[in-house]
Amino acid sequence: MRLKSGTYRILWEAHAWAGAVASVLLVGMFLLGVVSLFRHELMPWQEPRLRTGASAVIDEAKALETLQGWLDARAGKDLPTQLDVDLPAPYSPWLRLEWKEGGAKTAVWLEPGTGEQAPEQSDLSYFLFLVHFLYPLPGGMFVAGLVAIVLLLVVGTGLVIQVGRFRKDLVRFRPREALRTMWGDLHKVLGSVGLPYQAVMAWTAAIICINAAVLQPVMVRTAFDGNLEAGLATLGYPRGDKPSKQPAEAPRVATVLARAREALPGVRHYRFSLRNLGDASAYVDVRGYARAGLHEFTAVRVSQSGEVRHVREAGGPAATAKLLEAAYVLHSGLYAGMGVRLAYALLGIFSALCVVTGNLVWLERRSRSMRRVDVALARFTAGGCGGAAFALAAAFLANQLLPEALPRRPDWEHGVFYASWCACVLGALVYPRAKACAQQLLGLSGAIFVVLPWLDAWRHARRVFDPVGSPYVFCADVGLALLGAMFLVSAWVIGRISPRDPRDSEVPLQVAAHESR
Amino acid sequence: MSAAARHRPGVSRLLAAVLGAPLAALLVSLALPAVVPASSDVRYLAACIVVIPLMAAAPCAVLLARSTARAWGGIALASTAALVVLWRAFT
Repeated sequence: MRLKSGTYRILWEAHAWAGAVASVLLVGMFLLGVVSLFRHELMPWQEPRLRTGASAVIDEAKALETLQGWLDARAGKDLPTQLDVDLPAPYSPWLRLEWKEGGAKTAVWLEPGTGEQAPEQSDLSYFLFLVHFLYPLPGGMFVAGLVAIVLLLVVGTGLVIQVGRFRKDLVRFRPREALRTMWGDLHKVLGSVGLPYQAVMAWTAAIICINAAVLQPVMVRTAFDGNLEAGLATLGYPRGDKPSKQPAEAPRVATVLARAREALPGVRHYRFSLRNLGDASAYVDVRGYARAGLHEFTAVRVSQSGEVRHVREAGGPAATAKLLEAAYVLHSGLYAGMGVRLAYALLGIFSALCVVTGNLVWLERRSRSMRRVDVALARFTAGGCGGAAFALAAAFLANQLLPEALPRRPDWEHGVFYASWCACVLGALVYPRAKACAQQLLGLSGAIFVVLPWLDAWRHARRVFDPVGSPYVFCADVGLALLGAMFLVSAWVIGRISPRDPRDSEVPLQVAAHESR
Repeated sequence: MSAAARHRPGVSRLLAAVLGAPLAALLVSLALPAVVPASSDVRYLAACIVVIPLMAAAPCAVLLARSTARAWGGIALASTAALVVLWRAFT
């Protein structure tokens, strides 16, 4: 199939401009997505008190007893009305408690055996997971949804302009040709290999974000005729009772978990969401993971008296809930084991590189007649894409270097991430050479990531890459070093490949890419 | 005028593709459940299914339209119809 010349040009321009404009957020989201895939496994690395040997055993009965003691000690005094408790897991053997106090989030760790309480020092991996969806920023979810739709548009136009040439472009790489040809080849190889992954990621991200940011509030009126209860029930998360204003003791957490297990056996119940605490109408939503294809999330609502009020099986009760949950599970790679997540991580890095090489093609195409807007966009994308890698590295470095006793330490980590990314973008706008800026930022990020395992080992007096200690820390060490090496190689490649004399090239530069088919 | 120059989009067409078309597609997706004769859940499902392809395809349709006036006309027509439906749902 051959497109008409005019149609081809329009689709090529749409592909190039949409990709260039959204490239900064796309690269950032792909890199953050790679880290988010392993957010649970990173917890012992970011929070050293969670580090245990491979053979550590979790005593669930003791953990529930400790939690009950914590609740009872505060009943009638300073018990928060809403409390979320993450139960011990292999990657996090302490209980994690989170509640709101005066509008601000408070999170503490509770040692299941001794009841020792310690403030949360870092929520880095969870924060990066939220930033992956731009959730912490005002209107961020909507922007993330738009970026995902732009990615879908870029993938779709890329597919149309590549139709009929997939087999050839999948393996064609000509490093000795002109610079634009070389970047174009690399872009097409990465794009062709990653196309199904990118299409799935774009569609699932778009549906997750647009649904949360725009659809849900409006659907209450247009699909459910203003009945909020019906809307929530469709998703399988009905609204709870309001407080009755009658004081009561805290729910018995061991009984609650037993009831949840009776209702949904074979599910890994991982969280208590306690609501209306200290009130006679208190209830607990016990969240769980069930492996059921593309459906994963369960919930059992147990009342103060131990009565099961609601059961949400994996996927939820209705078709929309199943679709939305399937989109999330597909996006997160939760439907299979670690192998799929590693494949997702590799494809995520390929996709980030695909966006960067697309930018380089775009820049090379305009290199002979750069207008002011082209120069500004080139600098912005160089600072933004390199800055995404640098902000990630800076946040991990802050996790190591910030004082442990610093009040609101997680907020400082978040601040370092945002400030680094913004500083890179602003700095790049005034830096004269866009390519050198991106290269230096990538090199610096790579160096930080490579050094991080040694820094952590030195700070905690342990051997680096020690397979005998915590398996999670060992894997984090290897992963960070590999990510750093990848950034360093990328920086080296960008610096190493300099423009060649176009007269030596088999495909002359002045022939537009779309005309050299 | 060459075919390439004839097909080169102007500022108005670009604005239609970047702002007008996605907004119109979003409005249509939001209004759709109010007119689909089905159960609440199916109406919600319909919106979830159409919103993404519609928002991705709308800018392409605008860029490929025969003229900028036609592109803006299509956007205006779709947006007006969606806004009328939404106004009726919210009042």
